[in-house]
Amino acid sequence: MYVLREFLTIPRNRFKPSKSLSLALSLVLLYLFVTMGLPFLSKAAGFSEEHQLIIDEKIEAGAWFYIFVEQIRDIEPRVTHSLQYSPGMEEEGQ
Amino acid sequence: MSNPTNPKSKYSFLLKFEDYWAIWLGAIILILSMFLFFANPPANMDKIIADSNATMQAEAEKAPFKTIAWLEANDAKAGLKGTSAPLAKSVSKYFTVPGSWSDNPMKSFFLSESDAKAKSAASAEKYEKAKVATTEAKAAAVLAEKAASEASFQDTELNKEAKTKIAAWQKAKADAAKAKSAAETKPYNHFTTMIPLMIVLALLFGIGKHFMGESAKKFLVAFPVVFIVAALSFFLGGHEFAKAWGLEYVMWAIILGFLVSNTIGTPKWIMPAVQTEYYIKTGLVLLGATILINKMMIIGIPGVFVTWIVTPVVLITTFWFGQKILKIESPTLNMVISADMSVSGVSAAISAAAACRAKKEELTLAVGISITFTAIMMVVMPLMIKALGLNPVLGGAWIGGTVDSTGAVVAAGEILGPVARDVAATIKMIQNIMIGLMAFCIAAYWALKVDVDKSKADLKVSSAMREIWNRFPKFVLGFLGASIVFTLIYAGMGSDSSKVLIDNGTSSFLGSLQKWFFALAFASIGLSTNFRELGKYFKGGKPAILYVCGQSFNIALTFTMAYIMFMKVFPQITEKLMQ
Repeated sequence: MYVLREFLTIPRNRFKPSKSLSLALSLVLLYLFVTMGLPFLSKAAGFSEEHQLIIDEKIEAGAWFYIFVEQIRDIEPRVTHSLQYSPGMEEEGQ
Repeated sequence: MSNPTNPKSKYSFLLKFEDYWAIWLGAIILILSMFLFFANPPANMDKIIADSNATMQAEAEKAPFKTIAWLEANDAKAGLKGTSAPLAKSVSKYFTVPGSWSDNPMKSFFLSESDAKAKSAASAEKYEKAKVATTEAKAAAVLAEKAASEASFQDTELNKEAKTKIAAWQKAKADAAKAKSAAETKPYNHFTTMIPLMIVLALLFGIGKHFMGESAKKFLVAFPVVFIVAALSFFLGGHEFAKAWGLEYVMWAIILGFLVSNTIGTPKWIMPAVQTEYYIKTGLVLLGATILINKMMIIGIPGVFVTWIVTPVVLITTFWFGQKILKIESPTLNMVISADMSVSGVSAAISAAAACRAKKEELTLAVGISITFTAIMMVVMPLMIKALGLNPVLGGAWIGGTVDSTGAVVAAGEILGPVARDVAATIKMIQNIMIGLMAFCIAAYWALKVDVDKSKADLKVSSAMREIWNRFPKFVLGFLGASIVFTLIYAGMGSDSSKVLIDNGTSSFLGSLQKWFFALAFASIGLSTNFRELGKYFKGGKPAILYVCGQSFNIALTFTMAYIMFMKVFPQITEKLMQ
């Protein structure tokens, strides 16, 4: 009811068809940019091979903190164990 | 805002300000997550850890390379995950964000049972083949290792052969794991989890709004719209090429919000839920619980030098350069870009912006510049390192210290190879840990030096201290407090158990929830920003110049330090990492 009341009290001139149309058009263009533009740019920049590797390995290249990157969960113990239990420890006299 | 010195209650201010609510909400969520994970550890956790450690120790003393038993023990230990517990799984599913997709956009939200079955069936044959290949590769690895063992691991050729066969088995195993995940595709419907999540988040933040003296009803009505923009940002960021370019939900949330606010204009009734700082501060308190100081030494002294020495030097120098040479008008913009570029991209930008109370347009600009440069650097840097023929450990450390976001660092490392990827990711992780201290230092610097009211310069010490306290962003204490508490818990539990219950438990669980908080924050930024306003901050291209100059200095200094540390001072660590 509250939303309905709010909608009804919005002045008529807020609903300008041209503005609504430009929003709809912008959203369509955004979708096309993601689905067609980005793959095209990938090819155009010569990054196809590298991007395909990132896609195949399911790396979220935009993830901005270490807890958001799935691969870190395997990498961290691997690095820790490699340093803690380094093969050849006996030969090195450790 | 209400008067904090309300005589009715001495402590009523603790419920009337956004900063305190961020701390309360964060604390409630953290306590619940601790109950969820610490009370439900995986079965036989301690035994598996002890057995794995004993095996790795024995194998490391026996052979000069990672044997099959060593690798299996590593996998057994790494496979222990707090998130695997049934209760944790059933709660975590409600925090799921719209997923990856390529050709069919609906797959981001929904996969029917028949589609899941069809996908599984299509991958079943591949999985069967991969299983056979793994068995064969393991048999070959066992034989090669046995031959090397019979020569007491003294025959270099046999050792080399065993290492090659073991590496081939590891590769086959990884391929089989990927094929298995495709062959066991399960149906999902994210709408059934997103709607309850939206209701819970609306109530959680709405309660805070009520106590802050604002209309909870208006907030609750408006919240779904911001939530939908956030969900759509995950959808766009879920496209495979958006992920490959490193264009995550943060950018799409801003753009989607922009499109609404700069076309039809954000309706007034939505504005009560457009609460950038409220969402960011709560998200940052949760983020604090994942900043574990214990991880600082994970790669030893070289890692500390490449991150904790180089990064502050670059941050301070870049800020100074922006103030004195480029003469950037806004010190907050300068600080956000300097932190973003030198520390760890978006995470540092968010923390720095909240700590120095930068404008939302300044944060948007810093994030935009960072994402653009990172998209290019994460592909160009590994190609350059390959062309230069650098050692993978050195190359990895260089990438880890310079490429902004962690995901991009892993991607860049992957292009170089497994050793470089592991080193790069570890260096970046250590650098990530800096953001807690960085946020505290920035908040303190701003309270002490920048936001100073000159008319109050002659105040007594006690009054001056009160002034500083009033200016200090309180949520930073929650952010830092969460980090200290979890660091102490981590140390108390021991690194092995902590990895299971914190790294693969609370941190993983909180991570999904934080993504929602930050998506809501960036959607709010977009919904409340005028594109023309944003242009003003880019005056003369100074922000981009600052980023380029700072990053160039960062690249040079990080390479120098990484070279000295990994190649000259600690070559034995490099050697171990190469294994």
